[in-house]
Amino acid sequence: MSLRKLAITSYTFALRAFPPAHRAKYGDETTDTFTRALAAQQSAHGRMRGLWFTLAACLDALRAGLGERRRRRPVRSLDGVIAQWRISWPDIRLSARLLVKYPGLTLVASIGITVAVTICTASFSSFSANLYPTLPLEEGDRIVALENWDVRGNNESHQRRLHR
Amino acid sequence: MPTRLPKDPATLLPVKQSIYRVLLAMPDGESMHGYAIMQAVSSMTQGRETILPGTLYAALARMVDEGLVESQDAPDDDASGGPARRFYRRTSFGRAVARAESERLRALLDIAVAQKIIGQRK
Repeated sequence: MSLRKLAITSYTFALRAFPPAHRAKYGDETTDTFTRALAAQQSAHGRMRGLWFTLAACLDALRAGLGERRRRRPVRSLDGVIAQWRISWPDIRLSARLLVKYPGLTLVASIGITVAVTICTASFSSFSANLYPTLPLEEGDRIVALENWDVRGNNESHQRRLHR
Repeated sequence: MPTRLPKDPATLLPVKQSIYRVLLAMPDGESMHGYAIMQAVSSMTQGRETILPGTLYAALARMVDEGLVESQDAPDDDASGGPARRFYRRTSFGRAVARAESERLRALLDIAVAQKIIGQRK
């Protein structure tokens, strides 16, 4: 692959930073303009200058493409975000800054949350296993009661509930 | 087709540098393609400032959306070769925005002169 083709391929790849709608409308034109400018640079200043121009143009395309993506992103109202999530980006940024600013507090809070979650999970498992045991039968968790009947006497008074 | 056309040029101030350069590089009533705009930006500043294709077309896309320039297909007599390319022409609103931005910058420049940060241009 020649240097020129490699440069154009690299630049076409860098243009992927632009949103698809922009590429569909301006992609060919942008590549054509880059190709003409590259040829002018190479013929005036040599191949090494062409290489630097390609590098600069690729970085420029990445930067401009990401900017164009930001510009075309639909604007969400802060009120809508707060109503939906009860939080906003400034809240998250402030939280992150405070966590970094007070590492001791962050450590204590992390350990506290970890211990609390562990205790809750263990007690739930323990209560669940003791209060609502699963019978060792097929689909035992679906059985809600077992009763024993005195068949000979057909006496309901001897009915024994084994499991509830 | 521009998506919105603000009546007051001041609503677009301050203008991004890339957009301002492109507006200045386009003479009244003249249609230019992208590469010609690149060359015009470089030559009007004696090569001190350049604009690369990525920034140029991001700026042009925004300018078309805001009605600062209008795009048209290449004329039949375009003998440049290569793929078909669009030509861009500054609109009267684009000119008004360039004027408003220039006046804003001149006001700042006057402050710099008054504070003797730079001297008066002879």
